[in-house]
This record gives sequence, structure tokens and C-alpha cells, in this order.
Amino acid sequence: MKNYVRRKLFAALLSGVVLSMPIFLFAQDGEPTIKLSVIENDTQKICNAVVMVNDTTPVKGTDVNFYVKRFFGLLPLALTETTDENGEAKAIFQKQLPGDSVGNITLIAQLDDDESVSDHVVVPWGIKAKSETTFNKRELWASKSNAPLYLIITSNAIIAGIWGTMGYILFLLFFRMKKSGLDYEP
Amino acid sequence: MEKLKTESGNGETEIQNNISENGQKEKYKLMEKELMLYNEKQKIETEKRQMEKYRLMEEELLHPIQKIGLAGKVWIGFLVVICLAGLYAYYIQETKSKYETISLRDYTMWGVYISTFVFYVALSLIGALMSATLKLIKFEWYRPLSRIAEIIAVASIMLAGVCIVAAMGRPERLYYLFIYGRIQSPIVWDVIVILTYITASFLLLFIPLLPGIAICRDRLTNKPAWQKLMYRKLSFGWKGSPEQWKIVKKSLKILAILVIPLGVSIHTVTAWLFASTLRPEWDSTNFGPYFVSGAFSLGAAAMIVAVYVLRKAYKLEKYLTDKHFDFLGKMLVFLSLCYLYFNINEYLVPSYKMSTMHANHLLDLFSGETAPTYWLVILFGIAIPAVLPMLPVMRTPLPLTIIAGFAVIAAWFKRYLIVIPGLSHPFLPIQDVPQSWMHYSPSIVEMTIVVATFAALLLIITVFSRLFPIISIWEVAEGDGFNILKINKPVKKEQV
Repeated sequence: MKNYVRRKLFAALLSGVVLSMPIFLFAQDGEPTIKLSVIENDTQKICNAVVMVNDTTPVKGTDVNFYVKRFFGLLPLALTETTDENGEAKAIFQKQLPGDSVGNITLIAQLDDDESVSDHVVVPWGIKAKSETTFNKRELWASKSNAPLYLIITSNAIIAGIWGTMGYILFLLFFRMKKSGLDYEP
Repeated sequence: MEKLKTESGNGETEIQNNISENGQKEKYKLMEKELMLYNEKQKIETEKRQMEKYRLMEEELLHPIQKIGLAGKVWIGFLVVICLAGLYAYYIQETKSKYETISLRDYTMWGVYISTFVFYVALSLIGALMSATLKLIKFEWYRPLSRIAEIIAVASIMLAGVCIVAAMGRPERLYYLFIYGRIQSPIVWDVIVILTYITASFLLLFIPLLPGIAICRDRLTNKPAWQKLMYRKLSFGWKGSPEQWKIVKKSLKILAILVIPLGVSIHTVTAWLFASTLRPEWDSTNFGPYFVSGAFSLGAAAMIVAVYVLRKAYKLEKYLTDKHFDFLGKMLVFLSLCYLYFNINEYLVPSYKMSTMHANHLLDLFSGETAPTYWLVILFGIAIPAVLPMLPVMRTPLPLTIIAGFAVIAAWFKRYLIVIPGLSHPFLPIQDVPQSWMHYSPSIVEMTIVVATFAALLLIITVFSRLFPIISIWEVAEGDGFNILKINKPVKKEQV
């Protein structure tokens, strides 16, 4: 009985060691991280992503995606790039994209295998956005006080014309009708 | 001597000739005088006969006002009871939870109230069609029909307003429309055009009624004091002077011209309430003319029914003749064919393309849940009125009234089919909502209010016809060749 328990305990210990081996080995490599930076010269704007493990070991052959953050999603900046022996992947920024009011856009680099591993950087590479608000302008969809002038003029002209005509008929009825019959002897 | 004789002989002949010439002249003068006297006598006789004929006409057309029989009182009482039931239903609607009293939900937020509103607006075009248009193009047979058309127009446009108030809920907020309404909104255009049309229609009813009110004032001396006072006040001192006639004729001409574009506008703007949205069922440039043509076809059908009922009830066969039914039948055919044309445009073109958005709604109409109603409406509201009255036998009073009666009922269902299925098929599929949100069927409260508005329409027409001549006496007399300036004068007291 004692031997049986001993054997079982040994088997459990052995299987525990065997099962934890890959985890142990993987943990040895550490979590990969990505760091995005930009290189800008007279001719080119380049996004440079460096993938490392434990912040020291470059990861070679990993696919990296580059994006620009937009309102409702991520706009791919280039095709998927693969890291070299230095753990670096580069993408050339060639687009003319609208940025915020000062022209800032957000560049993002992500690992293709794991989207949670990403980094972003804000650069003034976008086109300055001009805010075109129609809030206080005369538009069809504006408030009552900002109705388009052409609509106010035409509608009031029609209303005045029709009601003026009816007003004339009412004038005839109330002020002329009775008067016209006063001196008349049938 | 001979010369003298000859001269004297010549003188005698001359004298004799002069005498005979003078005699002939006198004779001629005498004859002329006699002829003049005869002509004057004839003229007086003709005038007398005309006056008698006119007085008889007056008597016959005032008959419905003279005395209201038992049947008439029961009819009015019945209509009043239904109207009171409607008022009570409205009280329930406004004082209890609307979720329980009415079936309107997030999707179908316009139910029978708006369908009935569209129906009444369509019906109100009867004034522009039967009175103003026929008057302007000088179709003489319009004369006994104009007043009937005008009172239907005024009553229906008033009740269209009632339907809007019922649909709105919270009637105390009605004035918000005027305070906060945006001129950019089709709803505000509709409010403006309805108020304008109601005023113009009322004037078109009232101005030609003035001589009629004066007749009531002078003739109906046995009426209660309030009624006599009403006639006195409303006749605006009518004495039938040439200036007064001039004012009436001038005002009528202006109003007839004004009412036609107004009538077309009111229903076009009502169509825009729908067409200015992005719902695929209503997103149509055809909607304005489609609505207007439907309104004209409804107007002709309603006129036939009204003429038949009034002719029977008030024994007006002499004035509302078979000839009128013949003309109205032909008019119904023409207007139904026009309506058919716009229906083809409205349904056939989108069906040919059958885009996903349209298919949802169209297949429901053609072969889905609402198909029986849709095809019955097409049959009774368009096909039969467009075809059957082509046969002369179908243009006789009873068959034509039956055809027109079904066309009027179909016209109401047509508006139901425009409003409700359009709302039941939104862009995004209806999901995860209570059952009552998916299908609309009007509640008892809603139907009571709608039926009460129909009763109110009939009540207004009935009461009006019991207070004022339902056929314009002077217009009919003028059409019969009477000189209205001479005939339509106030009756002196001793003549009464």
C-alpha cells in the first residue's frame, strides 16, 4: 500500500515536471515587446519598429503591421513587414492623410501574431484639419432662427400674396358689402 | 285755264296723297304702339312667369330648411351620439396611459389617425375640383353641385386638423408648432397650407352663400329667434344691389383661381411629409402627383355618393338630375385612369428593379400579409371605377353610387396602405422587440375616434344643409337663364 502511494506520488511529480517544461522554456525567452519610432529626413518619412525579448534580444523573422489610427478603425500603412536580425521592421510613410487641428496623426505598429503587442507614436505628418462647422450658419437643417434666407423670402412672399388676396376679399366682405346695399331700394 | 285745272288737279292729288300718307303714318304709329304694348305685356308676363318659377325654385330648395322630420332628427341624434363617443374615447386616450389605450409604438408611430388625416386632406380637394375648376372652365352643370362640394371640402379639412391633434397627443402643446416650428420642416409647411386652404375654402363656401342667407332671412320668418338673428348677421346687409353682385362675382373669381393651386399644394405638401423622408416606400418623386390624382379620383367618387344621398333625402331630383350622374361618371372614369397611371409609376417601376429595400415592402403588398387589402383596393378603388362607368347603364344614379361608394371606402384603405406598411418595414430589421411593436392594428380607442370624425363630417354636412340651402339658388337660376339682378331681390314683408 505504501509502495503504491509512493509510486503514485512519483508519477504525479514526474508528470508535473514534464508538463511544466515548455512553460519554463518559454518563460525563459520572455514576452516580446515592440517599440515604434520614426525617422524623418528630407526625402522620406520612415516608421521603424523594433521587436525585442526581455528588452535586449532582438527577434528576427517576426511579421509587423503598421497602421494609422482613424476615426472608426486602423488604416494599413504598408504591407506586412518582417523583422531583420536587429529585430527591426520599416515602413515608408507615403500617404497624404488628414490629421487633427495641428496635423497630428497616430502611427501604430503591431505584431502580426499578437495584436496586443503594439506601440504607437504621434507625429505631425498629417494635413491640418479645418473645422467646418455649420452651427451658426443658415442651413436647411439649422435651427428656426437660422433658416436659409431664400426659403424665408420665398415662403413669406407666397404666404403674404395669398393671405393678402384673402385679406382683400375679407375687406370687401366686411367693409364694402353692407355699404353697397345701404342706399339700394329693391 | 287748262293749265290752271291741271295745276289744281295736281294739287288735289298731292293733298290726297298727303292725307293717305298721314293716315298710313298714324296707322303705323298706332300699330307700333300696340306692338310695344304687346311686347311690354309679354315681357311682364315672362317676368311674372320667371318670377313664379324662381319662387317655386326657392321654395323647393328651402324645403329641407323649413322643417326637419323625425327621420332627420333621429339621424342627427345618431351622429351626435357617435361624436360624443369619440370625444369620450379621446378623453380616455389623453388621461390614461397611451401605451394601453392606443396601438401606436416605436415603429408604427403613425396609425389610423394619420391615414384618416391623409384621407380627409384628399377629400378636401373636392372643393378645388368640383367647384373652382368647373366654375372657371364654365362647365354649366357644376351649378347645383358647387355648394355640396364646398361644404364637404370645409368639413373634411377641419376634420383633418382634428386627426392631427388626435395623433399628436398632448393637445396643450399644439401651439408649440407655431412658436417653435421651423420653416424648413414640411410639417410646418403643412400647417401653413392647411390653415390657408381652410380659410380660402370657407370664403369660397360663404361668399356665394350670401344671397342664399338673405333669402333665408327674408323667407324663413317662422324660425326661432337665434336662427333669424344668425341669418340677419350673416347676410351682411344683402339687398342684391348691382354693387353687391359685383363684389360677389369678383370675389368668387379670385377665390376660384386661388383655391386650385392651394388645393394642389395642400395635398402635395402632405405627400412631401412622406416623400421627404428616406424610407424606401415613400422615397419617391412621384408622390406629389400620385397623391393629388388620388384625391381628385376620391373627390369625384365622394361627390357621386353625396349627390345621391342628398337628392334622395331632400327630394332634389329636379336639380340633381340623371345628367349630373352621367357627367360625374365620366369624370370618375377619367380621374381613375389618371390615378391608375400614377399607381403604375409608383409600384411598377420599383417592382421591376425590386431592390432589396423596396422588395421588403412591395412583396408584402403584392403577396404578403397586406396583399388581400392591397388587391381589393386596386380592384374597387381604381380598376372598377375606371372601367365600369364607361358603360352608359353604369352611369345611372344607383349603379354609379354603388361603384363610387366602394371607391370611397377603398380610398380610405389606400391611405392606410400608404402609411402603415411603410412604417412596418424600416431599413434595419425589427428584432428583439415586443410582439405589439411588430404588427399594428388600431385599438378600440383609435377606431372610435376615427369613426367619430366620420360622424362629425356627416353631421357638419347635415346641419349645414338644414340651416342653409344646400344647392345655390342663384347659381342654378343664373344657369337657367334668369336675370339674377332682377330676380334675386329681398322679398317685401307683404309678399311673405
